[in-house]
Amino acid sequence: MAVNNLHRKNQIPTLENASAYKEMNVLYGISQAIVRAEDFDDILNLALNLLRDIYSYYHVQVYWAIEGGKKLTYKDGSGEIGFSIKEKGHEITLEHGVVGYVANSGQAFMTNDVLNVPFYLQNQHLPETRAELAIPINIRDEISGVLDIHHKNSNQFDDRDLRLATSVADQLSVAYEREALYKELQDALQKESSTRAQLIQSEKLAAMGRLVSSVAHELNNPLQAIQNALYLIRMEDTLSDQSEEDIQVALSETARMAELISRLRETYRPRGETDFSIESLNKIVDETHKLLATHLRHNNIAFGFSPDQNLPKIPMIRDQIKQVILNLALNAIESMPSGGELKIQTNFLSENSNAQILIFDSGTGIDPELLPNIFEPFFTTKPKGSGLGLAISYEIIQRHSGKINVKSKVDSGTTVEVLLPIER
Amino acid sequence: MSSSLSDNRNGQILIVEDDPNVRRSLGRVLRLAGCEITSACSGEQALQYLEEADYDLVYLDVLLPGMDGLEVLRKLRENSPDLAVIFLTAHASLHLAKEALRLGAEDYLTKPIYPEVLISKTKAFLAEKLNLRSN
Repeated sequence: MAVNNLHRKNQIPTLENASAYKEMNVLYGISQAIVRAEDFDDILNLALNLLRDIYSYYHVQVYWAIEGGKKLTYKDGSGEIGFSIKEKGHEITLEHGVVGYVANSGQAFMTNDVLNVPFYLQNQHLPETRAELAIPINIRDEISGVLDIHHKNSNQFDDRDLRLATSVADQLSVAYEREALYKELQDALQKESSTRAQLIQSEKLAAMGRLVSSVAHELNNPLQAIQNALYLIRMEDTLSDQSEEDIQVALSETARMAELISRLRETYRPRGETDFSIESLNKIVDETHKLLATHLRHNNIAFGFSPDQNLPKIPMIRDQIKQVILNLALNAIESMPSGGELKIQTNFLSENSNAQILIFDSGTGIDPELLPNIFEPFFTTKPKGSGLGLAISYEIIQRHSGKINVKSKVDSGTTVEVLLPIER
Repeated sequence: MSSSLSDNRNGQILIVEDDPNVRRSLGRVLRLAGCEITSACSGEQALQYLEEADYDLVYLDVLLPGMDGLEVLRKLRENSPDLAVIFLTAHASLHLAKEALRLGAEDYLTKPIYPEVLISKTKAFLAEKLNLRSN
């Protein structure tokens, strides 16, 4: 719009005006792309094509510095030629042709007859080039790329082209920097939000710890009184065998409650840095397997473990991670009442610096409707389950800044994935 | 000052416990094991009883109204440096257990403890004490 208005104001289209109009059009188009906050690669592509189309250049392209500025790689170019060079990829050194010269010297270079340039190198994709204009693209005082314009005819470039190309190079630099800043901002925000989530999590854990501790106290006293009372009844001479048995059940149930309370307390006990040690996950899986060997045999379950030998040792609260693996393996076993296969695998995921533990079973699977609830405390499908196994496992993995994911298919099995960061 | 087991008793035990159901049932359990039991429902009351009679063993709760168990232990140490004290508490805390042992408590037991276990611990403790005395 602004450009049209401008055009109308300049009533008499002189050569000078027509040229200024073209220049405005290119710069305006690029600024609009930048304002619309498009991706830098999109802005670049649009700018190169706009330049070529409006000025009838042969080809407009940009090379980008790589390997700390030792080399340049083809970033993008106008039209079909640009697309095809980009697809194939093209890397050049700083000794290579006009583009290399500009990247090396940091100075713009313009020739109206490439045949007069001793260091000119013809690009096989651009056999018709007769004139070339190349401008360095500086970002934060470093040469980050070269804007390179080719013309099929000699003696076509003048100061206006140079000025325009310089403006475009400046705009590209601003667009690139803006995108970099935007990405930095996004990263910072992301980091802030995950730190905050962690803080909330540790606050939640601390609150839970206080709650569990006081509930434990409130429950342990009555449990002691109940156990005492049951014991006193059992000591009576007149007790029938049946009553004796009933009392034994009541006593062992109070013991189970006490055990549960102490397990909860242990889970939510405040932990400090000193509770963390550097441990081998593979070793912990081996130990868990030893604990479960008899249980597995009795349940007709084949066990397989594929450890990643390159998995580094990682920081953890050892007994807690062992409890998680044990809980998950026990769940897997319970899902295979008529036997099956339990497989555990560890992997080092170097791309996000995580240790991965995968636990596969060929069991009954989890109803997709129940899947979202399985980590909730006191949620259970087992007649004798406490509903705390997975909830506790979840809390433990959270405390380790890790993740736990479950995939399941009814009647075919469940896979649990635990991710633990390699570093705290 | 020191209490004596040599006069053919099974042991004089003072239970300091504010929860009435725990206090009464614990007393009956230990009586069944042949001990003589006195019960106090607060630290202040316990200290008063300790002034009036000799005991072989004190079962002491930690969380008490008013003076807490650790304070009671500190106070009673002023007059009875050798009195045997076992903590029996629903509050499992490593920090408190350490402090209790530092003040010379014999043990730090957490509730609930099976009455059989408590009886056997009590008997073993008293027997050892008796043995020490007769030597």
